[in-house]
Amino acid sequence: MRFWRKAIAITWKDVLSEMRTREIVFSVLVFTFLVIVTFNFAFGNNPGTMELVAAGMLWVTFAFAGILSLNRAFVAEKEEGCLEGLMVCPVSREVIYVGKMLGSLLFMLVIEAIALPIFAFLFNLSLSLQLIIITVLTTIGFVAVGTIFSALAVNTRAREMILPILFLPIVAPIIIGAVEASKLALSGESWGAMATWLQIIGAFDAIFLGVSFLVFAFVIEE
Amino acid sequence: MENAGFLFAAFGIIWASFFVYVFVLWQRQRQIRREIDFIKEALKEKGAKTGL
Amino acid sequence: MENRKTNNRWLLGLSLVLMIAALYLIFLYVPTEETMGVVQRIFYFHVPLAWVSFLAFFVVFLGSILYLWKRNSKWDILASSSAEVGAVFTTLFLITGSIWAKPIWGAWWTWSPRLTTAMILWLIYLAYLLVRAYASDDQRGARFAAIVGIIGFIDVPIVALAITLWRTQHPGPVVFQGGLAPPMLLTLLVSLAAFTALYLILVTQVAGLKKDRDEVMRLKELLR
Repeated sequence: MRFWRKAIAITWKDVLSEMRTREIVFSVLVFTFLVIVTFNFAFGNNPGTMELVAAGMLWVTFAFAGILSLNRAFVAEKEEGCLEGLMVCPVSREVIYVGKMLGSLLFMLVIEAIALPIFAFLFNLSLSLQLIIITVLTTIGFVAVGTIFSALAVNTRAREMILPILFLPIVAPIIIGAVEASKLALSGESWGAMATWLQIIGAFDAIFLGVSFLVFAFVIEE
Repeated sequence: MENAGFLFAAFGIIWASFFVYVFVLWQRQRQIRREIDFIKEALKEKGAKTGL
Repeated sequence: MENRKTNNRWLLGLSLVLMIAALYLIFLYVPTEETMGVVQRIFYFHVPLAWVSFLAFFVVFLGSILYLWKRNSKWDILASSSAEVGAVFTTLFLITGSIWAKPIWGAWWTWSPRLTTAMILWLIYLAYLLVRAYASDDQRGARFAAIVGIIGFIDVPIVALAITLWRTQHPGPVVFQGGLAPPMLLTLLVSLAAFTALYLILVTQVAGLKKDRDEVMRLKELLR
């Protein structure tokens, strides 16, 4: 239980900081909205195309928004030297991982909770519980690997480039899964139809939560 | 024998790439050798100076 | 030192023999395939290149784990050498796949499962090498790269699975059906062995270079 309390403390710190500065959520939301509008210029002329392309658009948007959001995850720590401070406390590295990951997860879910209705509204799509579940599952996968890559990227000389090139190839499978499942969800298919894809996303989440948990200590050791 | 050109291209590119790579490795090897010789010289001089 | 040199000589000799045998088999021995014609022979290069690409990444994975565990730089040298050589093989795997695709499918690139997975593998190699290059110092670079190697390798089968599932739902070009007749199998295996031997030679060379460079750095420090 102490583990979770410490982890939540770190998450809460991030949430408080975000509530004061609104740095992440606000800027990523604006970005998301702009991407949606740009997609409309790319594909919006033909309503038939829209149907084909909606799921893909949705996940490209979330993938890039995710990168933006994750980019910030460790910047404050690095610049203000908080990471050293955290490491001096008697918290295990894994606690830091879980805390940061939950924070990023929360931010992304908030952003998605706002973006999905906007998407549905602008493109006349039908939101469903299925879509929500798909989104939550995939986002968990994003932050599972994204947190560790963010911590890694912040310690390199080209962090804006390193994070995407680490992140996107690795999460390719859940992007595929999310797009395919979303396509089915938007057409109102049953849970059974998208079961395989959900299993892939779920397996990805489980595997990489585990691996990142084990490996995180190596990223931030000094 | 149609499309033989593609077969040749594939084989050629493979061979050329490995050749270039081996050449690059060879150049690096030479550079390291030169540096090692330089260090040996410098060590000798240092030894001479401090009477080792 | 002497042992290393004799081993290398053996490996070099073996590799040469295997390569020449493979060339003979590929160009003179194996019968031409009916559907695709002469171009099909690219298969005997393409598949071994793919095999080595994955083998090399497996070595990167092992080296990364061992490095993070034991902190002996020889493991890091193994991992980074295998990554460099593996990247070369993966690039050639992609290029030969593309050259093969053009006469068969009329396009330089198809998003077939094999090519798409190869592309992702290539990107993961790239990420590994970039993280090494852009880390703030060498020690960190080694550590970070090891992490990328571990996560990347675990990811590859998931990527392959997802892409294959995805592509069976939206079938694209199918590359090669049917079993392998014995002469083809023999040719493939010899070619596989030849390219694996080549991989081993290259990795030993690159690893030797890195070790020498580390030694030079260390000696230079002593000189100051």
